[in-house]
Amino acid sequence: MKKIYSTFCRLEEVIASIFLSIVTLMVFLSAVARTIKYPINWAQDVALLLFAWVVFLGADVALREADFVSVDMFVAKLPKKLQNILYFLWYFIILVFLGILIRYGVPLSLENSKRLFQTLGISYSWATMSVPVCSAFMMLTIILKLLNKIKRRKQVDS
Amino acid sequence: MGLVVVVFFIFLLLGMPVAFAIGISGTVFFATTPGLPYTIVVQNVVRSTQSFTLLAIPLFIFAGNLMNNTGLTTRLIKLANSLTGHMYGNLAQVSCVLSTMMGGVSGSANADAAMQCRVLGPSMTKRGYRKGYSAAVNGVTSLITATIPPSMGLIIYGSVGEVSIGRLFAAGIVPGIMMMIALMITIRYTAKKNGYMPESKEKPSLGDVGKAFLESIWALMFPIILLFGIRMGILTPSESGAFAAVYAIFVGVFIYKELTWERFKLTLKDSIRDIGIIMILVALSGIFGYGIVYDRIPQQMAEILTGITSDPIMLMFIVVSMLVFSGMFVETTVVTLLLTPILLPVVTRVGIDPVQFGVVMMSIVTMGIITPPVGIALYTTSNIMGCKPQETAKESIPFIIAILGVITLCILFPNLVLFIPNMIFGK
Amino acid sequence: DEVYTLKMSTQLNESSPMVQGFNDWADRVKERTNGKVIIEIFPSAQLGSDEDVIEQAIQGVNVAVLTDGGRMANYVNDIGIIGMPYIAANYDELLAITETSVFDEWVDELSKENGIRVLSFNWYDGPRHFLTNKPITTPADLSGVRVRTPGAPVWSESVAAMGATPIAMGWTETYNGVQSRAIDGAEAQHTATYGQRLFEVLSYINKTEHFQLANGIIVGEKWFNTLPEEYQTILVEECRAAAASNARLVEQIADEYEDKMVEEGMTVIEVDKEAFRKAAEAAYDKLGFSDLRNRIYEELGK
Ligand code: NA
Ligand code: NA
Repeated sequence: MKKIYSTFCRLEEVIASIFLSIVTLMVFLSAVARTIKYPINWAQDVALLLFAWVVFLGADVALREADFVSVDMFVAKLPKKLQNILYFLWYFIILVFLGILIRYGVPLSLENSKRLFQTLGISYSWATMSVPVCSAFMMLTIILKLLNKIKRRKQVDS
Repeated sequence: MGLVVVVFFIFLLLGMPVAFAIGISGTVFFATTPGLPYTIVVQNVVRSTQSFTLLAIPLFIFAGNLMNNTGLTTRLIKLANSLTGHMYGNLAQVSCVLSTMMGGVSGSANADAAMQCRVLGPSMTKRGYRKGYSAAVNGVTSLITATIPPSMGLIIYGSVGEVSIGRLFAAGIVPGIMMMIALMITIRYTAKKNGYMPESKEKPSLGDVGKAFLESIWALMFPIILLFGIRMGILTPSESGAFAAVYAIFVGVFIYKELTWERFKLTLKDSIRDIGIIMILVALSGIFGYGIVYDRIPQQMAEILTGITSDPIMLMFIVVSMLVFSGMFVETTVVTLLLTPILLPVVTRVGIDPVQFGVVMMSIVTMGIITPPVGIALYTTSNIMGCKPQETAKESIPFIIAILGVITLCILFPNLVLFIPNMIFGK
Repeated sequence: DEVYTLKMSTQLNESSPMVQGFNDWADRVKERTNGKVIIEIFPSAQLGSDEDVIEQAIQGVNVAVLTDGGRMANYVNDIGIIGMPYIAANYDELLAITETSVFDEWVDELSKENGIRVLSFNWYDGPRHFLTNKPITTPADLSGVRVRTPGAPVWSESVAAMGATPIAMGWTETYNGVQSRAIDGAEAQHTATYGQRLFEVLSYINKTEHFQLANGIIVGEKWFNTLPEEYQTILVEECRAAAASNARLVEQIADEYEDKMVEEGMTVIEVDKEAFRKAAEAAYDKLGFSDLRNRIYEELGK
C-alpha cells in the first residue's frame, strides 16, 4: 500500500514537471516561430491547458510537503488543545470544500464538453477536469496527514 | 457579500490556510445566493489559471529557480556584492537594483518577488538578515518592476480605460526610479538599525569590480537580451519568462556546465511546488472575486465616493485610500478590471489627468500584493523565506511608507509623472 | 410579484457604443415590465470571458452574454458561417441571413440540445478592416504580414486565405505587439481599434470590410424558463428592437471614429475588395462551408 502511494506521488511530480517543461517550451517556441513568420497558434492554448494541471498538481505536491500558509498570530496565543481542535476543524471544512469541487466539477466538465480550446479543437473539459481530479488528490493528502497526526499524538500519549 | 467577508475574517484570523479561507468564504456566497449553482465555483477556480498574463508568474518562478541552480545567481550576487559591499544591508540594496533592472523586462511584480526571494533569500539569511526583513525587501522592491515599463497593470488599465498605453509606459519611468531611490534610502536606515553591516569598509577597487563583472557577464546579459528581445519584437512581455528559463538552461548547460540532469529535475520539482502554493491562492480567490462582481460592490463604492467631495486633491486621496483598501483584499488584475471603468470617469471629471491617475492607481493596487490580509506576494515571499506573514508585514512598514511617500509626490506634482510622456508624445 | 434580475455580460468596454445599446435594452425592458425585470450591465468581461459566461448561462445562472457566431459554433457547427469573410456586404444583408429558415433551425438546435436561448441575433459591431503599417490593396500585399486575429479556426483560416499570416494574440496585447514589432498589424472594427488607440502605432486602415460582425445575445434556457411568459416576450422583443437601433448608432460612430483616426494621422486605403472576396473562397472550402453558403444564398434568392 505504502509503495503504491509513493509511486503515485513520484508520478504526480514527474507529470507536473513534464507539463511545466512543455509550457515553457511552447511559449518559447511560439515566440520564435512567430518571429520567423511560421506562427504556432495552438501553442498558447496548449500552454494554458497544461498550466491548469501544473497549478493544481503543484498545489497537491506543496500540500503534501508542508501546510499552506496561514495567519497564526492569534491562534498561537490559544491553549494547545484548542489549537489542535481548530486544526482538525479547518481541515475537516477544507475536505468538505474539496468534496464540493469534485461533486460539481465532474458534471461541469461533462455537461459543457462542447466548449472548445478553439485552436486545438479539443474540449475545454480537459482543463476543467484538473480541479476535481486534483481536489481528490488533495483530499487523499489531507486525510493521510490527519491520520499521521493522530497516530503521532497517540504515540506521545502512551 | 457582508456575510462572506465576516466568514473570511473568522477563517483567516483563526488560522485556516489563507488560500482556503478565501476560497471557502467565496463559496459561502454561492450557498447564500439563490440561482447560483456550485458548478460555477469550479469554473472560477479553473478560469484563474487560463490567463496568458498570469502565465508569466510560473515561468518567472521557474526561471528564478533555474538561475539558482545554474550558477548564474552566485555570480550575479558576487558582482553586486563587490559593487554594494560598502553599503549597509548590501544584499537588500541588490534586490532593489535588481528589481529596477528587471523592471525593463518583466511586467509582473509577483513573479519578480518570488524569483528574487529564491535567488537572494538564502544568502540574505546566511548573512544574518531576519527572514521577515528579507521577505519584505524582496516583496516591496518588486513594486518597482511593476511600475517601470513594461507593466502588465498599465496595459490592463490602458485598455480598459482607453488611455494611451505608450503614454502610460513613459509615465512609469520617473515614479519607478523614485521608488528605487526611496527604497534604497529606507534600506540604508533600516539595515543600519538592524546591524546589517557593510561587508567591506572600503569602496570596491576597479579591478575587483572588473573581475566580478566579467565572471557574471552571462547573468548581466540576461536582462539585456530579454530587453533586446522585447524591443526587437521577438517576444512579448508575457513571454519573457519562458525566454528567461530557456536562457538559464542554455547558460547552465553549455557555458557554466553546472546544470546536471539531477539538478534540472530538482529545479522542476521546486518550481512546481512554488507554483502550486502561489497559484492555488490566485485560483481560489477567483471564487471570491465572482461574488464581488455579481453583487456590484465596486459600483456601490463609486456612488458613495462621488457624494463626498469634488476637490481634485481631496478626491484623489480618498480614491487612493479606497484603492489601498481594495488592493489589500482583491487580486491586482481583478481590482484593475473592476475599478478602472468606475473610478476613471469620477477623477477625470474633476480634472485629474488619466495618465497620472493610471500610474498612481496601478502603484497602489500593486502595493496590495504585499499588504495583509490578501497579499499574494506577502504570502509568497513569506513562504519562500520560511517566516510568518505577520513578521513580513511588520518589516514591510517602513518600505510601504516610503512607497506611499513616492505616490504622494506623484499626486501632488502631476508633472513628475507627466513630463516624460509629454516630452515624447507632446501635450 | 417577484423581481427578476438579468446580468448582461460582455467583454466590450463600458465606452463601446454597443454597451449604450444594452443600456437602452435595459431601460425598455424595465419600463415595459414596470421594473419587474431588471437588466444590469457588466462590461469588460467582469463575470468572465464570453465562453465562461455562456457556460454559466447553460448552468442556470441569471446571465446574458453578447456572442459571435464562432462561439456558438462550438454547439451548432453550421452557425459559424455567420462569421465567415464576405458572407454579407453590410448590416442589412447580415440581417437577412439571420431571418432565414436555416438560421431558425440553428437557433432551435441551440435551444433544444444545448440549453442556450438566443434572444436576438441582430446586434452589429461594424465591419473589420486590416490595419497595417504599409498600404494594402490586394491580398498579395498581405504576404508575410503578421496580423493579429482571434485564435479560432474561422478567423485564422480566413485571414490566411486573404494572404496574411494570422497571429493568435490577446486583444489587449496587440498595442504592445505592434509597437515592438512582434506583429505587423491587426484586423479589427473601428469601434475596437479606436478604443485600443491602435492609431498610435499603426498608419493604414485598409478598408477590406472582410468580416461583418454579427452578434447575438443569449441566455440560458434554465433561467429563461423561470420567467413568466409575458416577460419572456418583452425581453425578446425589446432585445431585437434595441439591437436594430443600436446597429445604426454603431455605423454612425464607426464613421466618426474613422474621421478621428485620420485626424490622428492614419491613412484610409480603398482596397480591391473583389480580389479579397475571391481569395477568401479558400477558407470556405477549407472549413467546409461552401455548400452551406449556397443553401443560404438560395433561400435569399441571391
Ligand atoms: Na527586489
Ligand atoms: Na516592468
